[in-house]
Amino acid sequence: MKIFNAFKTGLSQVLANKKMWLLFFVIQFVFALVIVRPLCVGLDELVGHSLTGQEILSGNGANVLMEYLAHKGDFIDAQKSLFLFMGILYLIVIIFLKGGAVACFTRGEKYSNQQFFRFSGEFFGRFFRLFFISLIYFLAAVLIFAGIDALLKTLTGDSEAMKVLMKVISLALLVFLIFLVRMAVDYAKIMTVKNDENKMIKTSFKAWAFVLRHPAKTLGLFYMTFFFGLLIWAVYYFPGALIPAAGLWIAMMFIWQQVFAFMRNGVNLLFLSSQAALYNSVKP
Amino acid sequence: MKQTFFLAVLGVILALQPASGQIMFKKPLSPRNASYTMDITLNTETKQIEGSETLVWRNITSRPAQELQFHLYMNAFKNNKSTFMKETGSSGGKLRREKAWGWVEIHSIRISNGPDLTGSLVYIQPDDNNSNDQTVAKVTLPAPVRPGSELCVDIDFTTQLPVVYRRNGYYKDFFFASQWFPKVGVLEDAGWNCHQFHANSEFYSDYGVYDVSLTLPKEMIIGSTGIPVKTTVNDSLQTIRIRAEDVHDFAWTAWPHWQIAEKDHNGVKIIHLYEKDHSSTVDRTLRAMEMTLDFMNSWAGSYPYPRITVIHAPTGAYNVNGMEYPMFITGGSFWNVPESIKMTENVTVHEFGHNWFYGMVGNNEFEEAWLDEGINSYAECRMMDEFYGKETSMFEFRGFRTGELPFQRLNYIQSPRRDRILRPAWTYIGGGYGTLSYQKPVLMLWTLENMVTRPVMDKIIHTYFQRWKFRHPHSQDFIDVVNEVTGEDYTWYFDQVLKGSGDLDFRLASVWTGRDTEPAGMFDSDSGMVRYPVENDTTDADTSGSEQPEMFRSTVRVQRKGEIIIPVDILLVFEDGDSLTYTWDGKERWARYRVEHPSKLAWAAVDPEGKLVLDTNFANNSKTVEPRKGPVRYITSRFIMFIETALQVMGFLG
Repeated sequence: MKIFNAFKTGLSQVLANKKMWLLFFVIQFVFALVIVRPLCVGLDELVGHSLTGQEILSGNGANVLMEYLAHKGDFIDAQKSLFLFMGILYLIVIIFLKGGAVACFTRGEKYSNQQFFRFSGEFFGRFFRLFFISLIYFLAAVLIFAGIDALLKTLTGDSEAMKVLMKVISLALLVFLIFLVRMAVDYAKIMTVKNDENKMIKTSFKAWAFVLRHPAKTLGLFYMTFFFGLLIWAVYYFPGALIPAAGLWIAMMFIWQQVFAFMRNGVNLLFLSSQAALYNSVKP
Repeated sequence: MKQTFFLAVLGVILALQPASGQIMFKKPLSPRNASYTMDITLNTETKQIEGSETLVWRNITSRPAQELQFHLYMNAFKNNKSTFMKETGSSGGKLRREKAWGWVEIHSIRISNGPDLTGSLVYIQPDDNNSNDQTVAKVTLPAPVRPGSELCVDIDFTTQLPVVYRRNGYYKDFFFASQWFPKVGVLEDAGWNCHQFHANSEFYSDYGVYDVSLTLPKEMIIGSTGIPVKTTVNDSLQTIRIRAEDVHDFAWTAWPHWQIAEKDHNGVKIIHLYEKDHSSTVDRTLRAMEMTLDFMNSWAGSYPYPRITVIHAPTGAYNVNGMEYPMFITGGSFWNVPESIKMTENVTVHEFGHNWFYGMVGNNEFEEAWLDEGINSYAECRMMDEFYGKETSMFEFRGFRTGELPFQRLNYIQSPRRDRILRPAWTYIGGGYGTLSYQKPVLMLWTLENMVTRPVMDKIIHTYFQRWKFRHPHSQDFIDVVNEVTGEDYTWYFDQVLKGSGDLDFRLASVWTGRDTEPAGMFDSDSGMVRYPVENDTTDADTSGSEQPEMFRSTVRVQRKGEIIIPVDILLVFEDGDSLTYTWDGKERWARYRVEHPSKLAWAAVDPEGKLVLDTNFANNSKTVEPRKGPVRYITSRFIMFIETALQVMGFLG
């Protein structure tokens, strides 16, 4: 029951903090707009006054993509560099913002700009350290995956079907491990806020201990939230695939996509809020 | 089940064969001047092929032969200093790690019932003087072989198969033998044409009859060039006698686990050997084979052989996939590869197509690779478009699709001025072999087709095939056929595209349209000179001009950015739907078209029908007066979503 209650509490907290939700969405959208700029300019140069562009709308976008790859190499290079730079910057910004979000959810405080950014600033240094610690955990997850993948390969023999099956199994394991690390790091953040922890390595160990002491609750809640996210994706995807690529429908498609992106950001916050609620209910 | 059926059919066939072996054709189709009788044994433990061959060689040139030259191509895998290894930049890789090099060794070579020539055998390196390369050898003859005379030579040899490497070798109990026996080179009037084995070169040999007796463990299932004519089983071994006529090579495979599917189609038995995991693509492979057979039979000429075998190499031996041999090809597939990805079909169509261009038309692949790879890839594009739709013949996945031709073009347009097509295959600049032997020739031939029309192009191909089958044509022979069939001289085209390295790129540089300016100044009229514009008094002025419909002036400028000069159409389309077409000879670097029309210009295009597929940039072939932002917005919005997803994943981990 604690899982459902935590999920419910988390959901109501996200809904009660729509400004925070909007902030996460807007920042993501702005970053995406900046990153997409070279493509937009390059594409406009290539087909903005050309009949070739029509091929995109008639389903032969791959052919135009080939022209783009061949003739807009400089834009592609710029795109890659920009994506790398902006991606790292976005990661830092998100680590900063998560301080505010986790603090609001853990302490049950309603969003206000002042409060949110004060929390963000307060926990940024610790969360940033925690991020570097999490990289070690992610690396460990990848190493475990590699080991199991190598082991499974020895069991497959020369059967292609078995090779594919084993690869699916090992990739599923990798996803599970990555989710596990992310979950433990979330609890480390919650503990940091809740207990004003300063020693991040120690806090991360405590978080792992918490997860291992309550595996059913923590994993259950995490996967409930994950499947909730999948449900939202399904609601977005299937109608979205029916929208034609013509005229005003393009604007419709864009709006539909952004609605989904907005919802997705909400799910990301739901992970934090529901886990904070679970932690509060389990740990006095 | 399929295997049992196959063995039963084989038994019936064998029972009906005369002991002397089947004769496929009543009348030879080729000169048959290089024929082999072989008696070989596969040792599955040592991975060696041991045996002897008797070569009957006839001098069909006008000069006497003082020596014989042989391909010993398995020696390309003998060490890491061979020309092949040096050109691939390999230090031996798997061969070195597994200590599983491949080589061929001639133990003895003698003229039948005559002198032993073994002592005169020396390795030669006609292409690069690499003394470590032993892929070509020669023996000096005691007496010259005069034009028209025949020579019979007995050779004892051992071939060590490497672990599967570049279309050859073994993997566990799977065996594949190509380029595996001492094979005589081609004597031309200019001398021996017997190149070393290179990283990018394949075949050039004379036609003949192959009569091969292959002894190997009885559980082995084989696939090969030719047809089996007799099988004898002795304890744990079986000897299969195989005969192939009017072919220039012989390759084979043996594996105890082959699954067999077969189909008779228009008098040809199509045999498909595959591993169990590839059963989902069996029907697709057979269908592709049938369609290729039908298309090529009517397009180029009839496939005369009674059988074709196509294999999909098993896991661990993929390296042998995607290669052509007479009456025998290696395709390729994966477990449950989706039908929307035409990988299996593509390689099947391509390799089977080679049985016409390579197999029957036996050009020199070392020196003019485009004649088979290019023409066959052009055939492949035509077939893939016809069989699977021109927009989906490569893949179609969630609305993302492309055809074979755009896919071929992609590779070429990355670096269109890399080199000329016509040069020896091993001398192309790095990475150029594929582009210049496959992709550029496809675009060259497709552009030619659009210039001469498809029916004429089909006649060209048909004429070329019929004239040159079972012979060794050169590029000029193809050009001569083009000129003959079209009745025009296309030398100018081939000089630029085949023998030149320039690219073709027309650009619609600018469009402008606007209201024609009001007349101003002094104009003659019936009542004398009139000043325009007329000021104040409108009654005396000749205003008949104002009754004319309003005119718009439009200017279009086209540019030839590339080096290739070729006539091209220019199309101007107006807002009222009217259009004007011009033909520009393309000789100057640019041309300008000024027109007056009652309507504004909407857009203009150079090569509006997309005939010149050699053009390296289609996007600059047209220009609209008003911007067309829809496609840009569509892609941008999708890409924003993609980036947001990537950021979401980063944020999830942060």
